[in-house]
Amino acid sequence: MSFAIARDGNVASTLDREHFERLLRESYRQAYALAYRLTGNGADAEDLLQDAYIRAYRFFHQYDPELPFAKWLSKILCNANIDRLRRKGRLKIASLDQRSEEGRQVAEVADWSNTPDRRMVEESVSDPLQEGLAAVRPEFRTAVVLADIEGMEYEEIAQTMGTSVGTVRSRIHRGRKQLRRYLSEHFPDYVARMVDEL
Amino acid sequence: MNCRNAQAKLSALLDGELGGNEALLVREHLRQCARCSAEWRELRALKLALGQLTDAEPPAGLEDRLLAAVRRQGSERRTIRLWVPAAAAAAAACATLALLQAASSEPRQTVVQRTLPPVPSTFEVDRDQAYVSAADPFGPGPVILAAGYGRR
Repeated sequence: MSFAIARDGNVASTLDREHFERLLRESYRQAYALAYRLTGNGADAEDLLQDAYIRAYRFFHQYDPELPFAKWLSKILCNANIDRLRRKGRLKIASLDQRSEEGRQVAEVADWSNTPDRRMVEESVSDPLQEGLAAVRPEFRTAVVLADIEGMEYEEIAQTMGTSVGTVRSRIHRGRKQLRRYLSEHFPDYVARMVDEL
Repeated sequence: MNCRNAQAKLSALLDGELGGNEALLVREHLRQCARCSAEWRELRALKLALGQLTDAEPPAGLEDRLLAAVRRQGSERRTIRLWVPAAAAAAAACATLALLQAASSEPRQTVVQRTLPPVPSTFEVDRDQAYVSAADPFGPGPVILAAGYGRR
């Protein structure tokens, strides 16, 4: 039996549940969009979203109603995604940017033999950007998605990802670099058009 | 500022996250370096394109499926909460039986059977407090039992 679940059981009042369900109804569309960008396909996005809402419900007693629920949920969702990738073995715990923070030289070569989300690439719907995002390491992708799609500032991303602003800066820089390289190699015309439209 | 330093700061400049002096130095470098300037334009275009991506539409029935998953989670938790007092009662009963059995194997001892007070109807158990307490059938004080006792 799980005693942890029993301990967390102090949120299960009817009022809390109704409040939570209302917040879920208000937030699930935006949360799905984020989950889709992080996973690259509908099935994984739905699984991730379900996992995130269940976690949010379990820890709802820790939610501060003064803060936007969507932001709180984004944090849970990003963490759930990292856990999901770890379980699937698509994420190395010793990440490249951790090594770079120690001052070592790191190669920025995309390794397709061990691409974090090969399935995501295979299933993405002929969208160069989505396909490119799938080729980016998950920690970097999360930072880029939060900055460029969710419009968060570095400080906010650092809080969401549970890391420092310096690490966020590094992840965004390297994530964009990987994305740019992938698009230049696989969709050079798309990149040229994108720049022309500036 | 050289190309390597400038390129490492392009993303932060793009996001408005670079301090005044640093930003000026990078912009100065961009004016002089065609290669870094080209990279700057590509990064800007990329950020713009990502920001214009349309949100993925949730599949039909997703809201209901999410609500059902949360409700399932809630009912599982309630089941477990009901189970905890039952486990406490079972553990206490097993302990009493075991003690009575041990006592009965020693013929010279007189066993006095006492009625146990009722187990509390609600019971909060933390992971690091995985014990249940009950009245000691042979003494005035409480007895502490490991939560898994009744399952052995």
